[in-house]
Amino acid sequence: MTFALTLRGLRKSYGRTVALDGLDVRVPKGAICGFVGPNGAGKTTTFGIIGGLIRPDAGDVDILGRGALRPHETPGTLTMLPQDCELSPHVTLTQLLTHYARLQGMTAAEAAREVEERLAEVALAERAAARIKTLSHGMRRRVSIAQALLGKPDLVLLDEPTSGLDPELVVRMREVFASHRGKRTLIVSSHNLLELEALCDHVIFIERGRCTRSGSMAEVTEQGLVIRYTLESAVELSALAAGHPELEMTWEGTSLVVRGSGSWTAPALNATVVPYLLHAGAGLLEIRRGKSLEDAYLAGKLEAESETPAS
Amino acid sequence: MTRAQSIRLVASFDLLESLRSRKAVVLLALYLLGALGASAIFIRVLSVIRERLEEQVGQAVDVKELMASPGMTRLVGALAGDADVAGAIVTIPPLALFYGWLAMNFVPLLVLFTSADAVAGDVSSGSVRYSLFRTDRFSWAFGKLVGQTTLMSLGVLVGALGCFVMGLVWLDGMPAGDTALWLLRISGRAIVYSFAYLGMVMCASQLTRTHARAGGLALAIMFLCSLGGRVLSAEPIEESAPELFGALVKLFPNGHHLALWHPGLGQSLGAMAGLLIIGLGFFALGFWRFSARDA
Repeated sequence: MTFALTLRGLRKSYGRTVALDGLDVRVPKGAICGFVGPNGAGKTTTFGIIGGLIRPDAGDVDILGRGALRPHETPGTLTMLPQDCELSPHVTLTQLLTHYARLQGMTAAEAAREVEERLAEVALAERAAARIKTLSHGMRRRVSIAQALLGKPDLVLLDEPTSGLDPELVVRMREVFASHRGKRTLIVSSHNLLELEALCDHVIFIERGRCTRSGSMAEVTEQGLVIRYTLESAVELSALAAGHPELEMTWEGTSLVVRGSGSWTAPALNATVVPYLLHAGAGLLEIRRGKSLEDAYLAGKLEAESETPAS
Repeated sequence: MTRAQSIRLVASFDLLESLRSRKAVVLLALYLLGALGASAIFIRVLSVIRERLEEQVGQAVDVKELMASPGMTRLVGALAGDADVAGAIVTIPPLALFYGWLAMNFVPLLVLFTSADAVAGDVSSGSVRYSLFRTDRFSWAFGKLVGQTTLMSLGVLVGALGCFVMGLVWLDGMPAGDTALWLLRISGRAIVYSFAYLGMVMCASQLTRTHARAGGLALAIMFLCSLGGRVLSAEPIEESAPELFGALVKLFPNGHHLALWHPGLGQSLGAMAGLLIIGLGFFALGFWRFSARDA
C-alpha cells in the first residue's frame, strides 16, 4: 500500500500546553480519511504542520514520499481549507480564486477555467463578480471550499468543511468531496461523525496529540462481523445462545449486538437471529450492520480512559 | 513557477487589494492633498519673500539667480555642512527642493500608517493561511514588500505631479522643464530614502501578529533609528572618533541624507545603495523571525 501522508513522531507544544505528543499517522493514497477527536486533540495543529503553516518541535512529515511540503518546488501538490480564517474581503470571488490558482502554477487561461468550474461546484457561479465582504458566512465557507479544490492537488486537507452550511449544502458538499474519491487523497477533520461515516473510507482517532486508532472505516466500525438489533425491549436469549455457542451476544441498553466469527456472514446471522427475535416478541425496530462511527469512537475513548492510570 | 513569478503575483494582488479596499486611493489622495497644500503655502511664502526683496532693491528679483548667488551658496553650505552639496542644492528649482524636503520628512510617516498591516494584518485575520501552502514564505513576504514599495512610489510620484501643477498655475516664472526634471529626480531619491523606513515597517509587521502592535513597534524602530543617527552625527560625538562614528552613522537612514544630494555620482549612488541595504536589512531581520514562526 502506498501512502499519501506519513507523520512520524510529530510533537508540538504551545508554552506548557502539549498539542501533539508524538503523533504517528499514515493515510493511504486515494483515501478519504476522517480525523476524529475532541476539541484540543491536535487535529488543527496537525493540519497546520502538514500545510507548512505551523512549525513542529519534532517529527517528520512525508507527503507522497517527497518529504515535507515545499510549495515553491511543487506548487499545487497540497491544498487546504483552514479553520476560521478570513478571506480577503475587498476583492471579488473571481479575483481571489484566480490569484490562488495562479499561485499554484496555473496559467491565466487555466486559472479562469478552473475558477469557473469550482464556483459552479459550490453553487456560487452567479456571485462570481461579488466582493467577498458582501457574502454571507455560509457563502464565504463555500468560497473557502472552492479554493481548497482548485487544480489537481494530490492531497487536500479540509478542517471542519461543512460547519456553517445549511443541511442541503452539507449534502451537496459531501457529494462534491465524494466525487474526488480515488482521484486525490482527502483528509477531513470534523466533529460530525455521521458526516464522516457517510463520506470516509479510512478513519484516524486522535486523542491528546496521539493517534489512538486508525484503519479502514469497515475495520473500525466492525462492519464485516457485527450486527446490531435495536428492540423495543430485551428478551431471553438462552435458547439462541445454546443453539449457537460460537455467537457472541451482548446487550447495549435495548440493542442486541451479535458478533459472528469464522464462516458466519451477515445474511446468515440475520437468517438465524431475526426469526428468533420475532418469535420471542422482541419488537424489532432496526437492524444495523456494525457499529456507528460514533459508537466506535466512544467505545475506544472509554477503553483508553480505563487503561490510563489515575494521576 | 519561478520565485520571481510568485513574487510578482503576490505584489500585484497586494496592490489590487489596496485599490479595491480604497486604501490606495485614500493614500494617493493624502499624498496629493499634502503636496498641493504644502506647495501652495511654499509658493505663497516664496512670493512674499520675492516681493519684499523687490521692494528693498527696487528692481525685479529672479529667484534662480538669487539661489545661485555666492551669498546663498555660503548660507546653504553653512546649513548643510558641505560646500559641494550646497553648490548642488542651490541649482535645484526651489519648488523641487521643497518637495524633496516634504517627501523625505513625511513619506516615512505615511508608510508607517499604510504598510504596518501588510504582513501582521494577514496573519491576524488568518488570510495568510490560504497562501502559504501555495507559495513559500520568502516569495510571499517579499511580494508584500514589492507591493508596498510600488504603492509608496506611486504616492511620491502623484505628490510630485500635484506639486508641479501647483507651481505651473501659481508660481510666476517657474522653469517648467527644469522643475519637472528635478521633481522626477528628487522623487527617485525620496523613494529610495523612504524605502529604508519601509524596511523598518515591514520588519515590525513580520515580527508581530496585529496591526496595532506592528504600528507601535515600527514607530519605536523609526524613532530609535532617527535618534541614533542624529546622536552619532552630532558634532561633539563625531569629532571624538570621526572614522568610527562616521561609519556607524551609515547604519541609519539619516547618515545617508546629505550624500543623497551630493553632485558626485559615486557619493549619491553610494547613499542610495546604503539606504536600500538598510531597508532590505530590516526586512531580512523581520523575515528571519517570520520564516521560523507559526503563521
